[in-house]
Amino acid sequence: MSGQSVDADTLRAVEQFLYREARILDERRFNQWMELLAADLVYRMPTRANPEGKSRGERWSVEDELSSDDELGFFEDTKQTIMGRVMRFGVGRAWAEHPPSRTRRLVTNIEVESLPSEGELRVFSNFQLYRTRRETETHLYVGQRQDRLRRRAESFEIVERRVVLDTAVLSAPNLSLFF
Amino acid sequence: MDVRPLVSDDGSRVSRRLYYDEALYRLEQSRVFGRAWLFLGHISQLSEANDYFLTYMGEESVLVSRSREGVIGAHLNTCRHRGLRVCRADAGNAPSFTCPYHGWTYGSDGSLRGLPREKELYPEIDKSAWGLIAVPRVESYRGLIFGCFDANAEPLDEHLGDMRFYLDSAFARTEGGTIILGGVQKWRVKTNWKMPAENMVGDVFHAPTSHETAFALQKMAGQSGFEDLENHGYNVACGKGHGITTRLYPEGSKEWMMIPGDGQFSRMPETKGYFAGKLEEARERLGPVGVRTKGATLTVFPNFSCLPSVMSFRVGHPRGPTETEIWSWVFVDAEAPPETRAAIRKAYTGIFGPGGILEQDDGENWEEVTRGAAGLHADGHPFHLGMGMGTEGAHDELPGLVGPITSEHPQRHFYRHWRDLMESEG
Repeated sequence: MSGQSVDADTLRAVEQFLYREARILDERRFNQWMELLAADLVYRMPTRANPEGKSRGERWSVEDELSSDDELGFFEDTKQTIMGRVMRFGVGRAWAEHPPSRTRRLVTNIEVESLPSEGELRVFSNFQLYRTRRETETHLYVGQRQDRLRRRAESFEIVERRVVLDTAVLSAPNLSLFF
Repeated sequence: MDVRPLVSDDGSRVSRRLYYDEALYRLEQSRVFGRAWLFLGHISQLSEANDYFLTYMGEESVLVSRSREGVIGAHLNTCRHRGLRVCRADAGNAPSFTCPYHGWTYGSDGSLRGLPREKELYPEIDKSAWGLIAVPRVESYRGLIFGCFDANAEPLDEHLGDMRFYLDSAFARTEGGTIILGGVQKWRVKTNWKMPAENMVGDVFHAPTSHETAFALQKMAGQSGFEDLENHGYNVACGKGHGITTRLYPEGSKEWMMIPGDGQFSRMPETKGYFAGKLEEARERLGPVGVRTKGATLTVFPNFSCLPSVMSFRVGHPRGPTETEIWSWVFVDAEAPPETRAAIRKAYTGIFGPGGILEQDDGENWEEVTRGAAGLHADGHPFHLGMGMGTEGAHDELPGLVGPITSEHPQRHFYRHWRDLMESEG
């Protein structure tokens, strides 16, 4: 069931918000990124599997491949635990990001729908997060964000983010990045 | 191939080739993975008849299933006709598996049930000779299922030996036993399978350096970092290449110290009450020494590791000499209520797994081992595993060869066992 579409100004404002978020992260300004996160943030990335197909004729839904909320995922963060992650990078010698990864986030396919709750929006976006480290180490993470944004002042804050990665086995040694 | 010079007799010098050499890796497939008891899965993955899951033994895809009659078995996931993998899902429940190519059909016990137009086209076939290739030995200990390609291997129990005492303190605390949570983390690290295995067999010593940032965070939150291990930790070599870093608290220690974990579970309300309520049962089942024993990390040779401190275990599947695919699960007591399970799951995810703040740096380190190890001129300079030589010995309470956490003897032991297997033609 899709929500109500929003006006062009709102759509444009959300797009610019997501692009700016991506640039802030690519510029490694993690403290500034945290300002975009709501205090009640829920940030999750499920794991993804190859389950049995359902009975003949039914389409396999993406949801069937994803771990549920009470199963083991890759990330289950709150704003507080994300603060811990950012502080960790600040200490230096967090070897997975020391030296830091070079990243380029390509954010596309942005869809915005209104939600029944006051001031909140349901936002979908696809991403490719290209990452290189050191000399030639290269990784590409591809997936989707399912967000709930809340209007705050003239902008938004991210209340909920669910990251769906389009792979069952990660080809990278870590997920030391924010998606 | 002369394997003997690659590991010194005392295990304190190990050739760099173990971490990148293709020929050694090939030989490992038969001499290590072809002979050792390999972790398959957890009994809770096969609770009903016809339940199944896929895993690997070495490089080979293996279908582990509970037959219609309730018998647990493991078979190579390869059709006897043209070799396709007959099972195409990670796990599920199915009475049979049909190959998509020509329709050969196997039961959940691996037997060949049917062929297309069988009577007409295969009138003479002896179906009993054409079932899925069976893994000859499948046994379990405390809910952990292992398989072995060597039909003559000693029983799993005997093979685990002294490691059983340590596995018990994680997996045998309650009558109800353990279950795994749904969901499994799978990720690839460009490192030889022996690195993650070695990391968990007795190397907590890397933690203050590699995980300095995580300990800094813990200190800021008022939690102890490494001190608990320094004060109560031991490294133990358990025989057959197995090893563990464990804590042993003295008699008379406060109750809350017996609660599993690194201290976090004795602080969180969602876990404190549950674990405290189970301590009496744990004491009865584990005995007075077992209940005071808390593992940090352990490895069952070759590639099964466990982190009792965050209720997790994992297997590192070899994917060539310089790549490993790690599968990691969270386990909990079957009796643990939902809020306890959730707290354990979140605690694990924050620090281990590819998103975890400890594991991220481990992955980085292990890949750097690969990048730095090889080289013509470096070849003659083996690695140094000589920390704490001679500091291990018998202990009056803990089974195995026990030394301080600053002793690399479990690692020396791991590689000496590796050498034994690799040298023997069997």
